[in-house]
Amino acid sequence: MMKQTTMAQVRQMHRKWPEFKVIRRSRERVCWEGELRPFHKTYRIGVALRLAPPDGGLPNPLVMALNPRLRGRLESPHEEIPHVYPNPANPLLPCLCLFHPATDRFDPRRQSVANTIVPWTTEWLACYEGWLATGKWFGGGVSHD
Amino acid sequence: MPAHVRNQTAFDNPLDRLYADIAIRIQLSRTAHGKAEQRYQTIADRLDREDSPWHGRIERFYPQGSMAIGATIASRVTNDDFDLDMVLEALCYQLTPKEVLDLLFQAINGEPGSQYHGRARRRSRCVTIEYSDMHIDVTPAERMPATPERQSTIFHHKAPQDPGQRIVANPYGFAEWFNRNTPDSGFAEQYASRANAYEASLHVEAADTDPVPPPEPATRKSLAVVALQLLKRWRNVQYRNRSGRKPPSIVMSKLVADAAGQTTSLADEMLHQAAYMLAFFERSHSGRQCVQVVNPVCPADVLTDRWPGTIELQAVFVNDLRRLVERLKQLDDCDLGEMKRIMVELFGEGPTTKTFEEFSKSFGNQIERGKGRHRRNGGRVVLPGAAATGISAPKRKFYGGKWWE
Repeated sequence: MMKQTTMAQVRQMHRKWPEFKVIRRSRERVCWEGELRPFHKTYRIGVALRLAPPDGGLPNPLVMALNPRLRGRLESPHEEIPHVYPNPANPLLPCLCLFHPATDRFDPRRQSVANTIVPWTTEWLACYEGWLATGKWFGGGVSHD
Repeated sequence: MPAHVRNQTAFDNPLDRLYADIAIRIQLSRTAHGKAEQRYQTIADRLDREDSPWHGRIERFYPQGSMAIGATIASRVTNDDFDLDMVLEALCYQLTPKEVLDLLFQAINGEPGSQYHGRARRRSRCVTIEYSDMHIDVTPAERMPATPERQSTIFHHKAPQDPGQRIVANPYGFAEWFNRNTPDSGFAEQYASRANAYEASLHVEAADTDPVPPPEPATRKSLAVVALQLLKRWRNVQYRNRSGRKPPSIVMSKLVADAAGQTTSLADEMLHQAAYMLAFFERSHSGRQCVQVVNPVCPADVLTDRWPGTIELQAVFVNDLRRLVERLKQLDDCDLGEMKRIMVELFGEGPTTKTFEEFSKSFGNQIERGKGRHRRNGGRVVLPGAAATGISAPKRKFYGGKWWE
């Protein structure tokens, strides 16, 4: 597995997901925005990656649906959206829980955002839409509870 | 044509797949179709018995309406009842319309204790036989000599003192014209295969109680026929709590056949057909005229003779069509939750809910097993069973809750 730098991550993203554009970049950090359309709805997605472990044990990278924002089910408005965690920087933009932190931890120095995070995001969005339609999360996963 | 388009199946697109699966859930199954054919034969045999007043008069017994064009759907929104129509072509000379209909009713209803006694109802143009899962309308008709194939008169009688009237009709010619104008294509085969798989899954579920029926040939349906089924279902949903007549299926069939053959996907066909129907009605409605639709092979056969009747009743349907076109356009920019709400409004709760549950389960299970695929451009999910290739994501588990605890 090749060692990843921000430059390598940017190159791979550009090659595999050209619709994602870099909006902020430094030696240790890079942020992209781009669009994904798992079925018939297009989502603007933000991905923020740090090569060094982020402060406060936050997941890395942070992935958010910027537009449209994630919403609850109209049929049961008090039901929480599954497989998200609060975003301390912006409570209106919960972060997507794309992988289990104990068993699937993403290593930004060894793994590629383009090959893992973006495909996992499109699958997360598909399961989220299935949940909106049925109230059930069919993609499997582990609940923190 | 680019390879990725050429290799697509009719149901690679989520909206096409959802439309098809709703249509499959509301249509007459092959098993029910076989049952209906057996019942037709039983009715024909009964009418042709030696002690029947129809013995020696019967020329032909053949399906008409939705059964003849392969577009039968459940007749009610909340159950799986089907209305099927047969023509009894017979020699009816020297009989008034009232006598023809009465004679048919007596012959079918029979004596107390006989097969159909108490299950037959005499109507103004036909006799209906009620079964637990379907209704069969038998319409008596008499062939008109020296006219195109199977052009006939049917009989109308309602008021007790009225002798009734003969009405020119050619349902056989209409069905032949409809089928010529809505030829099937590659879509028909894929749709039949999907419908067969669905029906097979029902038999697996019911295997403890019902014998598996012998394999029957798949029913091939064109894009236009499946769109017609969905449009008829939409009409049934809109009219379920309204009194009076609803727009006749044969009028909708005529318009769908007029507009057929212009699209290559079910989603496009639905929008195209709805927009065509709206434009057709608006042309008359804007001039305060009721539409008039005639049988294209028999102009004397006026298909709009009993509906709409008034501008007010026509306005109700025109407004329905406007809302339909608006909703169908919205479907291409919706998440599955919004899409389901719209489709429940259009096609009713039962088949829509089941379709979305199955759809979400199918790709969800694939993702859970690490077999999910998607296209690189935009991340479109490649649906299970789709011909399109895609790339897969490494397997992992979604997580939830507070990350840092």
